[in-house]
Amino acid sequence: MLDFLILLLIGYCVGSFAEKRHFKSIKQRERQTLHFPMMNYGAKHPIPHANESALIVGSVVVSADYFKMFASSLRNLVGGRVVAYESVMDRGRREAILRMKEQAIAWGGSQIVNVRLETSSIGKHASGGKGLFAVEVIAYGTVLR
Amino acid sequence: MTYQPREIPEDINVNVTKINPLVNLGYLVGTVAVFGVAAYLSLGVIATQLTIRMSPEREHKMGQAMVKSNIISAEDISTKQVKQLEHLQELLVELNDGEPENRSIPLQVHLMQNDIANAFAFPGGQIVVTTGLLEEVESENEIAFVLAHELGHHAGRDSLERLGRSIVLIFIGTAIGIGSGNSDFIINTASLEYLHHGRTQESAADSYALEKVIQHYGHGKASLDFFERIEKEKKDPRNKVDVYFSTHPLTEARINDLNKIATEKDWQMQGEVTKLPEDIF
Repeated sequence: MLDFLILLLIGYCVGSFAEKRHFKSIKQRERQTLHFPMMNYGAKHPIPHANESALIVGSVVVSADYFKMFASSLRNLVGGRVVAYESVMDRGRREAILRMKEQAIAWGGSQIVNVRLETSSIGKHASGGKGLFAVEVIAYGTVLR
Repeated sequence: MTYQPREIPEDINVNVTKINPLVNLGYLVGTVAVFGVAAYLSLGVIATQLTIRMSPEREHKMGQAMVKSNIISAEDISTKQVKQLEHLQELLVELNDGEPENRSIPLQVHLMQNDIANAFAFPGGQIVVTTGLLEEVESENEIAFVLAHELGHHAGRDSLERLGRSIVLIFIGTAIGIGSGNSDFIINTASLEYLHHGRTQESAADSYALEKVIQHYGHGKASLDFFERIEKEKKDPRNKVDVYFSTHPLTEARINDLNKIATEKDWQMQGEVTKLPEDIF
């Protein structure tokens, strides 16, 4: 019982510290890359003319801490919104898009079109087991130059 | 059309619920705890109702399912042991004679392979004695007292009561038929640990036993010899009977209590000791 409480405490303290720091970095970088346009076009809508284009991928793997895993396992008993994982997913999506954007800027692109997001679960958790909960979020699109 | 970037303010991020994780966890733990306690309490109520209302047939079936894992199976039992069991069975039925309130459950004696002298009452009139007990006994009066003591537990529904909440699981198990096989959870629940009885249950079974033995033999002579011998052996550091005391907390005080009851009720404590049949024991 004591080791469980210690794990929970470590999970909560370290987890929320890391999360706060991550969100801070995300906000700052989002502001920095705000000028860079991302646009989605439909099938009947021609994409803007460009000299060069490339597939661009931003990917990140985020894991939940022990505290979040415990909270979600309790949530599993009663059902409902898994609030504990919402912030993990949010961090994953935004980080993946940011990485994609940063790479596009470094490539010298003018804009990214038709961005898509994919999520997959990684680790034992994915095959229905207990233990590691980690998600990979991939953002990909076409960068134009 | 020119692209004009505009920042989305952070405080309208709809993708993360604004709730303190600790508060959220608190609610979750609270909900689970409330429902857990409710389930525990309702199991208790169901268990009590089951104990009171269970039909004799159902109790017998449950007892058989539980006893299965603890006894020597029919294939492994020797002919000598079969004869011994038959003798004990007859004795038990005679002791039970004139007890119509014993829920018309057929009584059954089983043998358990164990060098430590002990006896247990499982639900449904299933009484288990150890091989060690059969070796220790010196007269029929002694074993009659032990059997009558377990009979006392049976009469008082003690073994059903001691099962407590697990009775609900066993009941469901036997009802849907898992009980007929060697289902793991019934075996686990049927461990001997569950058959420890409380002090009051023990002394009630004791006085019940003494009364039965006196009804049967006309006197209580030698019936407590077994316990007195154990009491002496207990002081011997090499004794093997210690475990008997963990399930049957027998002390000198308990023997004294029985003697006191006998004096109060003016029961005959002297008489001729009945020997066990030489050829089987």
